[in-house]
Amino acid sequence: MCRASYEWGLTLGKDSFFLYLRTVKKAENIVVDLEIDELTNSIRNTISGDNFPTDISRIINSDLKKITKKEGWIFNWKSELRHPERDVYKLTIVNNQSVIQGLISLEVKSDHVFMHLVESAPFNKGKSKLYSGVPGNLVAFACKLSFQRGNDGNIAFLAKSRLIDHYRETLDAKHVGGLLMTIDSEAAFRLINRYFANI
Amino acid sequence: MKGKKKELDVDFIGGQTSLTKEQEHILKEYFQKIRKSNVTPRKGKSVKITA
Repeated sequence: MCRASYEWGLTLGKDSFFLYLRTVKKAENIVVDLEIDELTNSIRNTISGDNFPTDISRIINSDLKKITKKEGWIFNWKSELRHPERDVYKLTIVNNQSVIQGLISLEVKSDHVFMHLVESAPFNKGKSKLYSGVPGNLVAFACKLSFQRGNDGNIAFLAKSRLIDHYRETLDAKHVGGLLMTIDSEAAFRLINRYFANI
Repeated sequence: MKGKKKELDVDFIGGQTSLTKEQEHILKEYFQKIRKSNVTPRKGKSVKITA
């Protein structure tokens, strides 16, 4: 899939583009490879209502001091780095890389990307969160990575049982058994369009 | 997509436990099924033979 086709899809509308994807896949038996680097994502300040463009990058050593349980993070992010097959990414506001807004731990598997952990920064949790849209952005990034690595946008993750319906509703995720949920190509594409729209 | 989507409203997703063999198997089967349903084998061009 080339950029021109992607832009053509945006012009035509999402439904037409999905039809195009299905048609191309069935006719040519090719792997969909979207190129979406030009798009930007953003998070919203809950007080001012302003949107701020964001970056996603791998965490670096100097980040480790800030993402501890003592600083209010729930998961042990340092231990994620002990798994060489996983990558931990941070969401930051453009030109402010030192303040981490959220983290995601991903593993690229042969047929999907497994989302091990997602967590909003302590100040972005609960009703008094400073920025909204952090987890959505991170999940959309996972979808984007899945397309880029030839996994058709497919994502899998473990959900808490009480949140299964919430994920169905907000991510179009499918419940595939036990606590396992997946996001397929079409839902992934919708999330990318939603969270990576130009601002 | 019908109507406006609700915002994903969670503070965290997942847990620091590895997948069980059974869960790995469920995912493998599921994604295999998806791949199969997305791919249709190419058919050879049919040629009409007229006498």
